[in-house]
Amino acid sequence: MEMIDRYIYAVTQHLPENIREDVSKELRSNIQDMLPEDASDDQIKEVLEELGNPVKLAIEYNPERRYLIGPSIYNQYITLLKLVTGITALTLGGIAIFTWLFNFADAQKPATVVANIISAIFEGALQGAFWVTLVFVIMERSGVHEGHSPFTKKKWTLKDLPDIPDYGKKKISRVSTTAEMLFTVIVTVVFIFRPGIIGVSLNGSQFVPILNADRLSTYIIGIVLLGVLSLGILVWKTIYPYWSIPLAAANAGFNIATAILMLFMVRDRHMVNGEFLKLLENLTNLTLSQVTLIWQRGLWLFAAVFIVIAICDSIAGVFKCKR
Amino acid sequence: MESTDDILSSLVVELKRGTLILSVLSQLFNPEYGYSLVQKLEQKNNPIDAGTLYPLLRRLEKQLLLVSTWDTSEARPRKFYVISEEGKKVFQCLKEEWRTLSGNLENLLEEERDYGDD
Repeated sequence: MEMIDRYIYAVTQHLPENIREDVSKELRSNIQDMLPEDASDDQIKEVLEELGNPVKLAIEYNPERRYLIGPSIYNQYITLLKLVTGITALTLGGIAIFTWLFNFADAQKPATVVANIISAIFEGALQGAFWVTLVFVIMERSGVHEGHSPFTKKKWTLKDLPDIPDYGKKKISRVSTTAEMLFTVIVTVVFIFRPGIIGVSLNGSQFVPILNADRLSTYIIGIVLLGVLSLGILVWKTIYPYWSIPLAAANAGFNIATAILMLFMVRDRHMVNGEFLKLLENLTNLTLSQVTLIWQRGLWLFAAVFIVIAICDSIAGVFKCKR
Repeated sequence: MESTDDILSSLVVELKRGTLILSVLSQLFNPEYGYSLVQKLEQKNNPIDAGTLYPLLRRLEKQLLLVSTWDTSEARPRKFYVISEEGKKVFQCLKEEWRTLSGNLENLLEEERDYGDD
């Protein structure tokens, strides 16, 4: 009897919760039907072996798609997993080293420093692996990689046939994609985990962060979303390294979203670290309100330049498809 | 390398797989439970592995081709399956398909025999 219980457990363990009980009840009655009254252990063994490997039986019971990333994008997934995990691990490790180098204030034990750096590298690898996996799971579930529009089950037509890869000037170089990826990861990671390292030390003053970390944290969801979106676009560029209308649209969408987030941050007067403005005040002959005003104008100028670049980049994307 | 016997036996499994549903539906005009159906098919020289049949019954039920009821009147509860109205329609169409298919295939095989005789 115990053997039957173990067998049924081994099968139902692999099944979704909602059918477990019914399958186990039915399987038990079927097994008992196959056995004579007062069956011996050998007879039980024979029947269970006839039913075969419980894992295979469970697959027969529940043959639905049970994978996150299928064979059609598996190779690309592995390539990007290595690339991005490497980049994020190095970035976080690099930032940990950087922080240690410029953090004269408190002398840490060498063991602590090494432990910090190793844990930063490890965290970077985990973060990278997680986000790449998430992007690919979305690709798998949405069916983008199968060549049709996302989230629809339209029949394949000849229109979906991809061009032979002779992209000419539409081609996006692997190097620029990798560089962009590195840039995205560094910027996102710095904003999320270490906003304090964006700062200055003027005329031998103390190191002063420019941004107000507490305030920045209210924008964190936006920053994470933009980072993931950007990573998604870069994954796409790696897999299909040429400009196309959907890519140009995604690129423009990303630029608009970034510009909007940036405008919100520029408008927010509490984004700037007060200490930083005081430092500027001390270094110049101006009053605090004048410094603040000039700083705000500088930011607006920066935002304007940024938006112009974003618009140019979006339009360039569209033009590159046409070539 | 797979031996020829291995290849052959896996091909036979493939060949049979498509006919399983047809044989199961044909035997379920009266309610049967899992093991009674295994025995019935065995007696009629159409054996199916128990491990293949039990999950198949469930899948056909999910596709609404079969209906099931638990019979608890006897000492041991049993799940009985019977073909549904929908299942009967599907069975008729599938049967037609099978006849056309095997007829056409038979022609192809005959043709090969003609060549063989030359």
